[in-house]
Amino acid sequence: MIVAVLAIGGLVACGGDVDEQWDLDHDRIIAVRADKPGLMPGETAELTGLIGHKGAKTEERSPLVVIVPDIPNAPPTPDALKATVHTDSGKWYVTAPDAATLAMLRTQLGLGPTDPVPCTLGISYGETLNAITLVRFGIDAANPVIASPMLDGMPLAADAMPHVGALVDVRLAVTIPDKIELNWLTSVGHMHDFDLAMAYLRVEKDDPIAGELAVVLRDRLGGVTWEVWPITADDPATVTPTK
Amino acid sequence: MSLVASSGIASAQPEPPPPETPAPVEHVAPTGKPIIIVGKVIDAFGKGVRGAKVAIEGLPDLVTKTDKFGAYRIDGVPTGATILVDREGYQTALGTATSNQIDDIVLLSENQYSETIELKGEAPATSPGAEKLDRNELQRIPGTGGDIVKTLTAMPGVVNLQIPLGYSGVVIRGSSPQDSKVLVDDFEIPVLFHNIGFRAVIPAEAINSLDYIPGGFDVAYGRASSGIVALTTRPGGDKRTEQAEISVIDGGLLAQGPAGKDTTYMFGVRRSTIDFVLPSIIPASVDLSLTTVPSYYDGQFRIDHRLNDKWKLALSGVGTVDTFELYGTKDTSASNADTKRFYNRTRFLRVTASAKYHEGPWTANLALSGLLPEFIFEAGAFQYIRITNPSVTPRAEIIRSIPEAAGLKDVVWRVGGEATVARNTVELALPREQREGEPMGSYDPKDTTERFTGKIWTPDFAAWTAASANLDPHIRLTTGVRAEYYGRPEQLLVQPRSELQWKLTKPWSVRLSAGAFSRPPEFQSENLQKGLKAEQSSQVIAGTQYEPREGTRVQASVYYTDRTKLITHELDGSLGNSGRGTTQGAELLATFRDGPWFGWLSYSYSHSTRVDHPGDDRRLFTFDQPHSLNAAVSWKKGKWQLGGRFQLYSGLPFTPAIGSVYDNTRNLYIPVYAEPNSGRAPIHHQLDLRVDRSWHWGAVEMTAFLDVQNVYMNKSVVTYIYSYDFTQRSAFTSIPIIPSIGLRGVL
Repeated sequence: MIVAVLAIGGLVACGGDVDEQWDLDHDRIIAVRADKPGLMPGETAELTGLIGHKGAKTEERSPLVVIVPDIPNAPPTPDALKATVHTDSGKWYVTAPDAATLAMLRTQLGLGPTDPVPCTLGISYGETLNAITLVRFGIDAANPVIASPMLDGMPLAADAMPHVGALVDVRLAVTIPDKIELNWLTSVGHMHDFDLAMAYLRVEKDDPIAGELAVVLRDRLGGVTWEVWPITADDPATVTPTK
Repeated sequence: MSLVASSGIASAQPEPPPPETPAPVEHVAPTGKPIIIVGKVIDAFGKGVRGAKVAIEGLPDLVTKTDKFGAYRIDGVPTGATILVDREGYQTALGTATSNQIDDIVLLSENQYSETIELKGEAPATSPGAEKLDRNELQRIPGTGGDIVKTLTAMPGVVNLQIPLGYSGVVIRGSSPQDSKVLVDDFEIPVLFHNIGFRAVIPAEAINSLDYIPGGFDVAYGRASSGIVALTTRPGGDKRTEQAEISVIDGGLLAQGPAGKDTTYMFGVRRSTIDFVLPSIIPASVDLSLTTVPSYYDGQFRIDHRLNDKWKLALSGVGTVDTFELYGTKDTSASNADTKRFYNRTRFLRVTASAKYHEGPWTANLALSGLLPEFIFEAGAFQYIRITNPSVTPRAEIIRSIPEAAGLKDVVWRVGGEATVARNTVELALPREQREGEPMGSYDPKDTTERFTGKIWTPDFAAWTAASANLDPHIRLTTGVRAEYYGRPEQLLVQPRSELQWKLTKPWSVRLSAGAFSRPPEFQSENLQKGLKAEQSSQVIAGTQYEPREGTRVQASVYYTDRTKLITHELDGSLGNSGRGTTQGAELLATFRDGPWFGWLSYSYSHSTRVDHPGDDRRLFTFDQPHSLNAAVSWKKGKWQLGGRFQLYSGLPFTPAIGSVYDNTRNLYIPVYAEPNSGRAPIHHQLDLRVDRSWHWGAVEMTAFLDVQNVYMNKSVVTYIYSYDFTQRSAFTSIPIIPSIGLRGVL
């Protein structure tokens, strides 16, 4: 009941004061990606963040620091896990321990003999911890794939530079398997149904007409992928409104 | 046993005609065996009326006057004779000489003709700060729309806020909503208000009276560690009426009246109307589909039957159904649109059968009540809670009045018992619940940390006894004990309670109250964990009352509450009884009733804190509201009624977010908070106005009203809502102006 009160009341009583979750025009970490979220013994993956900026383009950037932190209200993280991250030439990597160490870690963590060993990584782009992400050792897993992205019914190639109309609903779609979550994000216009496979973009009066469009896919096992396109829109002041 | 006086007619019969029902008093021929009768004549506030003429109908020699305490004695009165009571400024009251000890006869002043005063055989001692409002007064406080929820916010000690709080909605004297109980005809109801419109589940038209007891309540009440709000449904009157009312929020029908010589009825039904307009006021740009527009129905009934002079029976019921379903998208056919679905259905039916017996010094109150509640909430594709918890509550209380015993006068002894047995069928998959004092976490639609499917029995039993007596003509002491056995935690609690009433020099009186109270661990997820114990409180209250003239009353009270065994989250996420808390405060309530005028002034000061675990820092209680002021005045004459209410109260505490950490795997931001409740929303003030105009339309008595809340459109902050990454916050503000227009017709 109170949810309904807040949901409906919230629509009436507030809104517009804070940036929406789909808004790329905002300082934040949008996503963090390991090249491979599931690593077999000895495999290495690079860590990269997608960073959003207020008034500027998004960027892919390596973290300043990566650690394997202790988890609050949980037993201390084993040293063997803490030793899995390292930096080289300004980039950060995570390397799965060898098979013997993984076996020891499974015993230490109370896991089964073939279970993947989860490892939470702490990511920092400054002086404090900014993000956490998950990789798993002892399992071969890849990041999800962005399949058949479409804009207004047309394929959206990775190197496309789409241009959309104003004051119209511009349909966006991507094919995703079960258990994959996605977010559509933009700094042009207003994104609707940003967390559904089929979303739509609408450029209203006073909206920016040049910026970026992005889609981020993730699974709950640490897999992340994204695509970012430059995008422009008609000037809403010069078009006649339609549905 | 109840004595009811209405329209100036009082009955000393064991069972009264219902309020507003000056039911025919049976004039038994005074031919019975002569007896000596003793009794007392009191006014609407329970004070003895001095110098009232007490006579026996048809026997002019049998007449006397009441002494300074309102007491009288007449010898040689034939059994069954009618007692006539007169005094200047009051309406004549009647009684019947059925035994030696006549129950109190209530004299109503001339200007109280429309009020109903109910005195239970020996009503539980009201504690300092308690207040009783009848239906007419409930509807006269401006800015409440005649609604009980909003009327409660005018009570001293009740936290005032622009939006409702929790399901019971009443925060009394620095305690959580679940610590106080809302009763209808003496039995708990699970929900106080509907999910839209902020309306109580019972319209004021179906209510006879509201008793507000903020603390120090009698041993007959239990399962609450703070206060009691007791609503009595409206019995049918002696004149049949049907009425209809419609406003922009809801519309309803109510019929009441007599059904034969000894039976009255009341039936009411109401439906929301705001759901017809709600879709049109939501902006088109919002990604929302109201597949089931939020709506509600509620219904009430009451049938009273007077079996004979000794027995009175009643059957009453209240029920409600609230439903909504919405999607956070316009495209409900999208493949994963179910992740954006929210569904709720809340409904309950409470039916109570009661029998009241009175003969001579003996009174018995017997009742059997059943409750059928259901609560379903589904959020997205993974989270849900479905609960049905039917319960049955038998209750019995026996009262014995003794004029004099062991040197004490007017001794009344009560003993009672009840059992509340519920079977909870629970299916849930939810995130860990947010307890009082805990800031809101990130919204993760896939988080189902708490899962449970099964049945839980909660058999609770209680027994109580209390004695009241006059220690001297000015001092009356009530002392008793209530024993509670909570079956789920297998816990027995013995709770002593006492109240001392000291009538100083007129018009001053003083009341002192102290006692122990408890609430069973049956709120939300508390049931799921067997080892939890009841929350407990100890209350000390001192109050004084100044009543310079009839209709004018000023009462002030100070209180201190110590809370122990408060249920909080432990570090491992389980629930424990590690919390403690204290509340201290002071309250003032002044009421004024004279002719067309009705005035109300209340002020509360409160300071409420908690310590969640031993060694933790003391923090503010989440609903701590240091200052709350309500001033209302209403004028009623002829066809017009005008009123205004001014409210001024402190904002509530909140916990500011100072940062966040992004959880890449769950795609959410984990907030980092400052000290709990270290921020506070700004002070709020508003003015409400109400105008009523009545006229006749043929045989129909019509009333139109306009109730405007917050007329000068003060848009103040209720609390703050953070952005998804906790780097920005938005003020959740009150709606700047709330007009309500309604029309009522009574045939």
